[in-house]
Amino acid sequence: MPEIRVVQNLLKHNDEIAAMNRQRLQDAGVFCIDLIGSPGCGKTSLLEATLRRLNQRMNIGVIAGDLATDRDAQRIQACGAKVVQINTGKGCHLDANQVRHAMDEIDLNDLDLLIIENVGNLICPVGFDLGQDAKVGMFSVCEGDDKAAKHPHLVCAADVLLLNKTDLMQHVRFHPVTFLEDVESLNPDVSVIELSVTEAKIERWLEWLLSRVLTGPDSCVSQTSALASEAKVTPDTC
Amino acid sequence: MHELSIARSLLGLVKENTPENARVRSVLVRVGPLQAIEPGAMQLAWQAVTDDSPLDGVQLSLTLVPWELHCRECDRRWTSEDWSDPCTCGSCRVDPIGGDELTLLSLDIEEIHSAVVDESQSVMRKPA
Repeated sequence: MPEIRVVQNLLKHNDEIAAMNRQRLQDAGVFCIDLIGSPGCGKTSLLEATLRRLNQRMNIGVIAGDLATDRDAQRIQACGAKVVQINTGKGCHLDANQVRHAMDEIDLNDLDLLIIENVGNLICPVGFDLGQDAKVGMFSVCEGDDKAAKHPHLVCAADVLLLNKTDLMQHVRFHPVTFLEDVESLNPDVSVIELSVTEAKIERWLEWLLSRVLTGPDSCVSQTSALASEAKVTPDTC
Repeated sequence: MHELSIARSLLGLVKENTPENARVRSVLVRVGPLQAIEPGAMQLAWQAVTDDSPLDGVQLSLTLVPWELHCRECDRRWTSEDWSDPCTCGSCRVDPIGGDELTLLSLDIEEIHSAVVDESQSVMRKPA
């Protein structure tokens, strides 16, 4: 039987659209993150807190992915961000084409930062490039200290990992050393930022985000050059 | 269930790479451990996307690649089903290398030579 050699990535078309998205973002001078975490880990709450702290100083757009409802979009919009909700129906992750269409609904030239809140899922979104500059993986202590080991895909793919709900650590028997050792073994280059969104302890996250926006596309620098120092002292008010 | 999206992409790639007058018998795909593909779910998704299409019945052959590991202490490299496999030197300071492969390697096809002949025969059967 004849054989035809192909050797192509199965997600070739997704990756091609993702490359187009990345180019559009770069041309507009927008830094973009893809936020991935399980349902209930605090992704939307983190976005709300982030917007409250930063939206007076930089222009932030959000693309929110969910199977159903526009509740996340409503919460995010209430904090002053431009937001597009994608309802995936039965889809367990966002793909580059969905993000491309969502980007059509936002004027990228008005933005400094675009945050894509992926569908709540630690597995399926990881392999789909959306055109982001950085992939942010989010866990919470309530999920258990074994979640990094059980989800090596996200840990290996992430540019930074967030650990939320640290205020609950004493109640849920989460052993930070176990979690951090697993992360370090899987991806020695990734840093872990501990957060408590409920207690408004998100300074390290803001510092990371701002440092990346500032060192990202050149056009961001002039608009946001004063942000890094201001972020630490901005009160958490909506 | 990201397998369904991946199966749809695979279907498109197979169609693109199939020559005219050829029938695909099977497709060979290599999957790295970082793709988190569950083989049973992938087969089910492949059946679902090819059902009632010209590719209905095409066999999907999945080759699951194990983790490739590297020991930071002794520089040994080996493969394992478990990313947390310690090194034989006793060290647990082990890094996974690569593992994100998701590649359509090849198509096994059969060429169809009878298409033209069949057409001429059907023309000849037409009443004068």
